[in-house]
Amino acid sequence: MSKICTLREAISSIEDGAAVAMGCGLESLIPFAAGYEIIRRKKRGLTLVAPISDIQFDQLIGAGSARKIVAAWVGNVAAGLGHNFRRAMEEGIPRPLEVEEHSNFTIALGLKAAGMGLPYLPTRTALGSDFSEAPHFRAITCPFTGERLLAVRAVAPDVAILHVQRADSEGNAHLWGNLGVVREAAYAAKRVILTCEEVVDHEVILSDPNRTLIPGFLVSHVVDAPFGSHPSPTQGYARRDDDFYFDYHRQSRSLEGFQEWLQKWVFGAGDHEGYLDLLGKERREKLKPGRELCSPAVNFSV
Amino acid sequence: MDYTLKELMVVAAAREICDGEVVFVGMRLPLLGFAVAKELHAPRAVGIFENGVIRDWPALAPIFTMSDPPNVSRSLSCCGLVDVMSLLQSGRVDLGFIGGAEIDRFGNLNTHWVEENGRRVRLPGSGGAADIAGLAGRCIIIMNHERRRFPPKVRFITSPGYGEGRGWREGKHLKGGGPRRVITSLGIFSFDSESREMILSSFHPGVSIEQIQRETGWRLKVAAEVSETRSPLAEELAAVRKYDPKGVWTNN
Amino acid sequence: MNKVIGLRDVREEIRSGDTIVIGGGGLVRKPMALVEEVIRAGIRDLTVVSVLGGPDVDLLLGAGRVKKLFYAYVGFDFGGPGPNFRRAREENKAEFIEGSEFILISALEAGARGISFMPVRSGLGSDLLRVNSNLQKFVSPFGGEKLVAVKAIRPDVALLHVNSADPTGYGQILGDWFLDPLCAQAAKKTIMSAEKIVDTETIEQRFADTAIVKLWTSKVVEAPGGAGFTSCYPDYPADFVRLKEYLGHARSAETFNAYVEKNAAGQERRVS
Repeated sequence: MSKICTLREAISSIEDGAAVAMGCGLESLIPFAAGYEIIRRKKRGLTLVAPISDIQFDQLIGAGSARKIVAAWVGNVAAGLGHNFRRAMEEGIPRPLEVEEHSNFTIALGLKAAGMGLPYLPTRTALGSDFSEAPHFRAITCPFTGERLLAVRAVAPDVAILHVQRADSEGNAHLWGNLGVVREAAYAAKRVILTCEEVVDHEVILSDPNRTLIPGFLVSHVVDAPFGSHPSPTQGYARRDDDFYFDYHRQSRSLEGFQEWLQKWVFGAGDHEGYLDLLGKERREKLKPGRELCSPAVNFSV
Repeated sequence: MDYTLKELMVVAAAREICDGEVVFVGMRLPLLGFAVAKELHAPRAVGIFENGVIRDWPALAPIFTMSDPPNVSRSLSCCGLVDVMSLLQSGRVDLGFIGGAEIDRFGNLNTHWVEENGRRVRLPGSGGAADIAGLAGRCIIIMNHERRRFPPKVRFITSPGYGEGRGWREGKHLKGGGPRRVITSLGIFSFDSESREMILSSFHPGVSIEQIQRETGWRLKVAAEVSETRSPLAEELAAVRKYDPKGVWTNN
Repeated sequence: MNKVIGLRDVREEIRSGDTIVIGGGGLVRKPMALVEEVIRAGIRDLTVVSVLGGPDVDLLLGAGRVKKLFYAYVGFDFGGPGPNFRRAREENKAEFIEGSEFILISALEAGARGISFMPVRSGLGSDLLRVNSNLQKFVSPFGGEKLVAVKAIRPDVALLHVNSADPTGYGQILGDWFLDPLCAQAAKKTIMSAEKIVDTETIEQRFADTAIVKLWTSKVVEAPGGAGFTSCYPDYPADFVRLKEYLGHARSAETFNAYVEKNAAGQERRVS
């Protein structure tokens, strides 16, 4: 059954108030096109889940889509603080924000626990960190060694939005490069929305099963969205658009500046195609990777 | 001086890496420090990034984040965050680099909330720093040295150092060894093996101990054998400039 | 750093009384050359951890080298349970710690991830909890659900066989990886035999196949045919003639002793 649909259809399937994992590759494979569409569809009350989603969470917070953040870090990786995140936390603008504080490791374990069907996983990290006093952590004693450990409560998103290199129409997805918590999020969430650089034949998926990190039965929607991770990189398809992050940092410093930014890049663009037009052919060309660096074919002969 | 302060800090970071060590690298100055160490004295060091990249060699081109394609291509292994964090948790990472907005006299770091002119300022949060601080064999902290960043006690412990001093880490059941060195824009600090308090071990060229005291929020402890930070050698500078040719990270 | 050693040097790396975990699965990619070398070297009193045991574990049991076995399965797939395993289990020739695949995986996972236990749902309602003291009922601090805590296992040595390896310790597996990466991560030391040793450049060019990262490898042994008579896809299939021969000899302890003398303990391994 083909799950291919438009970005608008896929994002419309998300209910207000849902917990959404996105930006699970850390600084790469961030589904920015999907984030912009969430803003256009005026989704409200979302809980955003991921360790570090570069400026994606800052954008969604500034646009008023988020009620709660489950994360280890919110900001602008290359430029520093996230201005919308600060405004929301310090002044409740555009609305107050709740944060479930994590470290990278604890949120990954929370997702992994949910993906394994467990209520928690134990760890040695974050002991002694003040954020581990929060109720989603519990001190436990190992029944075998008597050691003090920290139990991390499972984090189970309603949906994970993941950007991948290629997928077939059923949502079987190939991805490569650093994986961050992509697999953990795909298994933890009730369903997965994929945006991808290329929709490929099922045969391509079958040719390299070790690279199928997300099986299609976890996936509800597949969206063909080349450059859908812009400005974040997708290995083999798009470089990181560093200037875009610095420009965003400058413009989002004031609320008005952010509104202008939003007007131009999200509402003004209209949709992902409009956004790519706005970016312009020249800039897109510059962001395409240089000479190919391919690995030899993997032999699966029988 | 024929080098910048940041170049001095990168070289100081590189000198902390021993050959063959497994290093949780981090971004900016430590990333360059790792490249310099690999080039000069630690060719067998292995670099680990929290996004899941394990590298034997510096990135193929300058990068702004650890997930930029030049840091992924020709890496040794691309796995996930849980995998590399598990290396930390199982005691297989010798050294990790972290930074923070605030540090106190026992090396605790805060990247959650600070106060500026009586106003609460929200910072990005832990990222992987709390994990590295708790679990790495030893930690190197890199900081800008300003009085507001050096309070006697941080408002919020994001990444634990020695807490309230001797015995605190053991009481919290922290497995990693804790901070070993603090490299700041004014000098380099170690930690007293008894009290676990930060001690000034060297001051950068052109910086006085009095100046460091002024920028520090508690009465500074100074090592008996305190000296000037060794200037970068020509080969160290050449290595820094090879990996940061435009001075993106190392121009003052 | 060059980690290559000869097959005979393997005896310097394992001591009697060690806990070992063995890679591969059933009749696939078992490090038979390494296991035979363990027997030849007279190493005994081993604690063996085996998720998917086959001829490797059966041989060690038959040769009387196992003091304690953590296991979920020891068998020859369609050939039925391992004959030496069966004999030893029925006559209590060793201590047998009963588990399931996921329980053993979780124990190794805890060992690999540096944590003292892992919670699982496996084993609830089964007698495994009664006979295995490495399993404890443990109430979840969230929701109060009663789950099973599995105690971590951190083996001294992992024995693996791979298609190709480089001298620095990268190992590439072209077929099913089974639990080999987990075994390598859980163990304090990994000894990896390979069909062939290649240069690092060759490994780097196809890192998708790199199952074992050099961080986890202590020693590398070149052993062409080193998985025989189990299979090593795509280099060779299982050798059913030798397999049948093994099963024939394993019918009684006496005939198997003679087989061990002749094939495993007695002489250098035939390298095909």
